Amino acid sequence: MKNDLYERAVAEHGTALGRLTRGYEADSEKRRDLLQEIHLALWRSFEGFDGRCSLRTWVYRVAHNTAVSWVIRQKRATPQMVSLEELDAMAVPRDCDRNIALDELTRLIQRLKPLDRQVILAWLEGMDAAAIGELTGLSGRNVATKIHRIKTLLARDFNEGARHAK
Amino acid sequence: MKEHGMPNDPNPKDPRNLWQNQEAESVTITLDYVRRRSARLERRIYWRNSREYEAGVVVIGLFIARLGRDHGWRLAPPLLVIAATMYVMFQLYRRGPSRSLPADAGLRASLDFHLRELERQRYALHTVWAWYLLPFVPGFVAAFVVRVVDRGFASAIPFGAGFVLIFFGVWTLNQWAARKIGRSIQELKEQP
Repeated sequence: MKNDLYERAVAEHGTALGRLTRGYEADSEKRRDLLQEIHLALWRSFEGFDGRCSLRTWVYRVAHNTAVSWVIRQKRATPQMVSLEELDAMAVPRDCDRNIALDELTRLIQRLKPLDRQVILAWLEGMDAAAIGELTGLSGRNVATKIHRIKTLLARDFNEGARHAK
Repeated sequence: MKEHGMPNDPNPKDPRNLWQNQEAESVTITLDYVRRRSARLERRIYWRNSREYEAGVVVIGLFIARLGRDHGWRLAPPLLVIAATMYVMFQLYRRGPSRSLPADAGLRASLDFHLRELERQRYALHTVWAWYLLPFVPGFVAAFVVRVVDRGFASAIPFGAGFVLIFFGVWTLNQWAARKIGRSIQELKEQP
């Protein structure tokens, strides 16, 4: 049962877990360690899986919790984290090139505080407000506000990037 | 082994599209590998938790060995150190090892958990003088008195100074660690 659930989770969400680690760790070597830790936590967690939430929510909760613990452990080596509101006030140079845009997006995510980071990563993975609420434990209204801020922030930054590139 | 997912013409102006179609660099992790890692982790946790008690048992063993060589009031230092070690071991047991976060906790619960754990650790470090250092003071004072009686005050001064230095060093290190944890607590508390 535990093994079956783990294998199903990896088959369905393995790639997303790889992307998620990018949001929490900038160093590629450490990112692999984090990914291994997430897989380990996930496998161990399925002993307690009772199906009260969807497999996706469970996988993301375990992954984010493991990643947040990782960030707290590694925090001394990372720059100070900021909230969505603080990030919104910062002027960051943009570039439209795909890789640079992705790097910028990744750097932006990595600077966010855990709660904002979880919301933005879930939103980027295509989750809707209800699913993000279930994942984070935030109220629907709170999630909606955060998603609105994320959209505004990203629209501003990425449109500016496109204009700069032209 | 690495897997590289090819990007599906991502649009740099659409962050969701860009994110989901990035070149996915992931490590293939087999079930067998995860099982082995889990077993290794459990062994490591077991040894880490038992190490503190093993150190205590060694100290008690060493001072019990001394009991055979001393007699009368000179038994006071080893007896007091044994009692202090047992008290500290009891405190370590009472405080317990670091707790594990429930796997499926939501992020708010997860942050609260980390906050409580950090506050618990900070309190333990902040009060280390009371539960870790102070219990050894009577034993060391008794050892100092024995040394003064046996070899004179001048000879006992370096012995006493050494202990004061060690105590102060342990206390300073713990206060420094407590301050560091305090900063982490402050940052976590600033979460919206």
